[in-house]
Amino acid sequence: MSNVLTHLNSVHRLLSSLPTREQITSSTTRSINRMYKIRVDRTMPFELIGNLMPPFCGLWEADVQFDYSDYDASLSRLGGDHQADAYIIWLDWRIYRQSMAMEDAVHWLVGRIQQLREATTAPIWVNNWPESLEPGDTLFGLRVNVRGKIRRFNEYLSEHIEPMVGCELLDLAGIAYDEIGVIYDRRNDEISSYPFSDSITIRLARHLGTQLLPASFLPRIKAIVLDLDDTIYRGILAEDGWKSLNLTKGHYELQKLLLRLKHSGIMLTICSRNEEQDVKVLFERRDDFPLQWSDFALICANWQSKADNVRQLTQQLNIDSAAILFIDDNPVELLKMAEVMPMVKLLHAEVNGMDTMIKISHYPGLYQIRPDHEAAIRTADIQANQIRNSLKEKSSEDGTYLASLQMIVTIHVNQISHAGRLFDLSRKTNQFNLALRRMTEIESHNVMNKEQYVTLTVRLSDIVSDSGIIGALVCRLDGRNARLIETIFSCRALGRDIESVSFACLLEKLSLCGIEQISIDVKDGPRNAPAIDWLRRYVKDVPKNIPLKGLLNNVRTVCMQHPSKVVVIE
Amino acid sequence: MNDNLHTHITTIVAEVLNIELPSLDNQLRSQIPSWDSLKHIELILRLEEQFQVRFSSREVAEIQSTDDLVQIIEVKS
Repeated sequence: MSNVLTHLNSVHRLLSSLPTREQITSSTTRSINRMYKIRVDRTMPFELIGNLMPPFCGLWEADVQFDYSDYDASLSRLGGDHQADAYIIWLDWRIYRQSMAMEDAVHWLVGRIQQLREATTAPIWVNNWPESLEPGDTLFGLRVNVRGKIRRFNEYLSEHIEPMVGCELLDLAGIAYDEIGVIYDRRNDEISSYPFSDSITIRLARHLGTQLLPASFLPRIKAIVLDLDDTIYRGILAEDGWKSLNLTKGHYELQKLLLRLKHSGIMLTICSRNEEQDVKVLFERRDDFPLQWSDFALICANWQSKADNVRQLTQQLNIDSAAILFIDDNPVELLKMAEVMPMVKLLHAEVNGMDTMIKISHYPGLYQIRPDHEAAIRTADIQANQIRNSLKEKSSEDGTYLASLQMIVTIHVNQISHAGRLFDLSRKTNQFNLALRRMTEIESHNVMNKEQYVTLTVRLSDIVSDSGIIGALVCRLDGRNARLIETIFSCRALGRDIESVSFACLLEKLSLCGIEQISIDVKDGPRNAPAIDWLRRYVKDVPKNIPLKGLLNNVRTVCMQHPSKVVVIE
Repeated sequence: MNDNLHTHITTIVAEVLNIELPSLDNQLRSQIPSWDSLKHIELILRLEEQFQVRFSSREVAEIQSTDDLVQIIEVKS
């Protein structure tokens, strides 16, 4: 258990307020099981940031290794050997401002990134520039100060970088906006051409290590399990009563942040030692709480052990325990959770709600890079599963459950506007992910090319809710052969055999394209047994060069009994 | 020269440069290959944080040994 306490302590030291260099370097990291190579093409030093990153990455059991270019304003060796997991283009934009119009500099950079993109599908990050550099800058208006020019430049850069798939801004301007102290350090600039202060340097290292990198390489956390008492408010519900609970300013901000996380697609749940009726009354009566009863996908308010409750939550939400962040003010509860469910991520709630909020806002796995278009329907769909379960119980005897749902399966073929959703599914899905092919954004766009792929994205709706796009099959074509390189379905949609219906549709489509044989990519992972078991229903042997006709007949026979209505949109 | 201060600073130098210093004797920057200009800045930032002092550009440029560091910090803190 000491390693759990050490980890909680590291989380506290590194994520609460801005850590000092001493706190960063003395942090104990957990065992490292992922190493990422990052290429940095630059015109100013990055080492001061890069050297601080390992302890932050250690919080999610990762480490980073850098490959630095020379200082080269022409970016002549951009990307180096192109073997990196991510690329940072780290530019002192002042150099370009001196020699060319900023619009020209942006167009030049976009051209260079396009060249790099031809050699890699890995993420590419480009820094913008802080608006306000010198103390006292804000005394001068935007029209008479360089800030105005930088603001326009950042907007122009953003307009050109953000539409590029797999490209992100390393938002120095945004990070500087959060900084209360000094952004610019003239002395550092004079000595090493590194213009930023120590606090901005630490903020950048933390942003990269706990936000941007995990957001690019890890599935996002799917659910936050919240304790109530002394966690999302000050006080004890059973002792103080709902009226006396103190929603401090910090706890108000914490609840607002949790609500924003819910809107971004993360499910909120409660796991509290309280009577459920008391909790319901609390949320009904406290209209000053930003969080309301309906914001929670599931609520476990009872006297069972929290580990048992969380295990039950994982079953009801159909998600893996590794996709859960458990937040509690009681260290004993955190330790017990670690003992029984070691994959659950832990965060200790502070007495001051603001401190908890700050820790959450830097917790690895919560940062969101792009909008999640399915986010708004996720909690509602999970809540609808409870209705589905009751329908299932009622119709368990006559076997009419699936028919009673009146499902409509809409299958889109090579729909480029679904590439973002495919990317999300590929990153997030663990249980029904046959090849565990974590696609990059650029790959998920490439597989929408009709000449080379048949890619189906699957939308599901039923009498209870619209589940949105819940699955995808990605198949590469090669003459008369096809290779199913990925089969993914959201855990929310499992149990209704939509995967077989979609598979049948894919095989029909391939048959029409003249495909005669199909191979299927399968990779054993720690959690994707449901996907592998599903495939075994149709393919007993090694899934290579399977005659398409026989497989199609086999799957079609099973699906003939399926009561859903299938709509195919080409 | 303050021995405790000297020990403390030498420990930080070793930690930042990721080396084992053979002794607490004066260490010259020119004799430690990893003490390059970027590590020098990193070291300065770490010492500024630790001792709540601020080095000027000129001082940073003039520091060529652990004894230099100790002398400047002793005066400032």
